[in-house]
Amino acid sequence: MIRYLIKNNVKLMFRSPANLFLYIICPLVVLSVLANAFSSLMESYQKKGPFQVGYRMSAESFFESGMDMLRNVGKDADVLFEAYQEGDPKELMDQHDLKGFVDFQKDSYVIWTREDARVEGQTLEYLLNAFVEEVNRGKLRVMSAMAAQGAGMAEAAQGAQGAGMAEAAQGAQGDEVVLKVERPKFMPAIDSTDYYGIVEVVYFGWCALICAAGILGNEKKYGIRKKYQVAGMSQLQVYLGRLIPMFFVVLTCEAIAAVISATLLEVHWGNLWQSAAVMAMMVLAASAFELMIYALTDSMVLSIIISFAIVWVWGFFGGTFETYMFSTISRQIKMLSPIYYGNRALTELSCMGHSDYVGSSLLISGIMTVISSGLAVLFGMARKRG
Amino acid sequence: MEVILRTKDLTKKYDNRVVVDNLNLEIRKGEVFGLLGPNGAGKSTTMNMICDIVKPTLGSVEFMGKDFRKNRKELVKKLGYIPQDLAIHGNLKAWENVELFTSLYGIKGEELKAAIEESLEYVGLSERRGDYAKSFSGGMKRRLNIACAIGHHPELLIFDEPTVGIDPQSRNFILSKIKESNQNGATIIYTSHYMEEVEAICTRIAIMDNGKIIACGTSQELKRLVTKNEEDVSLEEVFLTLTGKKLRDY
Repeated sequence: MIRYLIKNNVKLMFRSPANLFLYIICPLVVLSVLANAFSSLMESYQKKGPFQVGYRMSAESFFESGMDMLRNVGKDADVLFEAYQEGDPKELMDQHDLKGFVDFQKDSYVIWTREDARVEGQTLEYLLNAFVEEVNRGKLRVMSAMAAQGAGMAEAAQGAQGAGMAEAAQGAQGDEVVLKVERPKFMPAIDSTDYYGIVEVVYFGWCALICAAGILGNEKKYGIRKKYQVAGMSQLQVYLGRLIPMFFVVLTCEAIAAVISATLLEVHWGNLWQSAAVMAMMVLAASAFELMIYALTDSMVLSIIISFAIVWVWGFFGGTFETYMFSTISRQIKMLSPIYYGNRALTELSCMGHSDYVGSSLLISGIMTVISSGLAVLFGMARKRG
Repeated sequence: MEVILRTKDLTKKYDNRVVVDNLNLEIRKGEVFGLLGPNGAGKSTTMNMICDIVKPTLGSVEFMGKDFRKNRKELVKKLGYIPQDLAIHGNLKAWENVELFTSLYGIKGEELKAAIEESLEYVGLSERRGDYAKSFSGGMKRRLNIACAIGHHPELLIFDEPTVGIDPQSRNFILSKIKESNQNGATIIYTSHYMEEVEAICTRIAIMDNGKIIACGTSQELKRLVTKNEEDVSLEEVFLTLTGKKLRDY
């Protein structure tokens, strides 16, 4: 019954030039403006060329067997390791112009960094964290083998899976060793084109209500809703007849914007499938949330004002207008914004290839969709009864 | 004559204002029933309650011998509603509009395709089937509005002022089609402010005011309520005599 309603609503949405402008052109224009405006700011967070770090290896350290591999991986990331068995790390750093120092102990390590080389220190920290994570994921033996052939970290990470840390450690040393893994405190530097290329497409996706504004306005103004009621359509059917086309059209336009941004503006989207999943769920959540606001107010103008105000605040705290990585807003406040999780996940997917925020982003979007949909149907039923 | 639709003590109150007051109506199968009344008389609310768009405060609607609200799924396919508003999408082509609104009644596939062609043919829009509705004149939009409501072959058609704002040719065409539908077996409920239209096509007419039916009968019967010689008065004079000449500013 609603197949034809969905089909024709999709046609109506695609036939609106405003939709194509808002969801394809606008993100591209805004990302170009913001990427250029903030490019010099973000460049300051990027390291300049290869740099040297010192290290000291304790006796029986677990890291000893993997040090050759770490050197190779480091070389690919412009981090050059130099061994220093004696001396105070701080003095060594000053004397040899080292940007950092690592003291490898039996099953842990300590990093020294310099105030005047913050980005290099973060890069070193990230490199070691990523290395240990890979070890914990059971890829040590593969990495060792590939490292011997000179393969880089990313290539090695794509190797065989399944072996656990204990097994990997036994393979290397015959002992069971558990490494403590700390989360990296930062993300590797991302350039302004990638960052704004991603977050602006996300932001316009959160303005999904505009996509259905023409249809919803017509339905109300010309009594089309009455026809749905006369035909015996349930509130759920009417709701799905709006939600599904909205989701489909906004997502399609966003996908086109993403493809254009990737091909013409060289925005890197990283892990394609996970990025697509995060985007799709966010568009679904945005559509459901804004249809719920409309069901509550029954006024398009009011709904647009309310939902855009909310989305702007979420975007402000969630990294739409400045980089969430370097903003002064506290993490707790950022985490109140549903947009933050999507931005963070997509940006990390772009520059790291993986993100711990993918799960939370999908979960939050899913919960928003279910709750908003339930409320929208309830509001619609209440209005009909009234 | 078999009664196709009956309202029993149908009442609608908004806060303390009674809009429809214990309305008991009987529409007979095969007739063209005209419902007249000044603005705010309760006609639209009555129509809305009959179509289950608005829930009555009290009373019920019986359609084809069954409670309409309780047997909605079964009965809704036998009801066609042509609203006063042009309930069509300007950015859809004529055939797409008919497809959308006909499909709401569960018609699909080949049956739907046939219904689209038949409906557009019926209102004389076959040749413009591929044009966007927004490019149509007022009269064409009115005809398309009708086409969108008849594809599922309803037995009861409710027309809510279908000739507002159109030229005489289009009005004549629509009225002839309403008559044709009636001759093909459909029962019609028709509301309008154009008395001559109502007199021309309706077999029975009810005049409604302040939420109540104040008179009901054939055109001649209504005229005889105000004069002995029905030739002397028009339906409009009867209407004004019964409802008064005071402006209704609702």
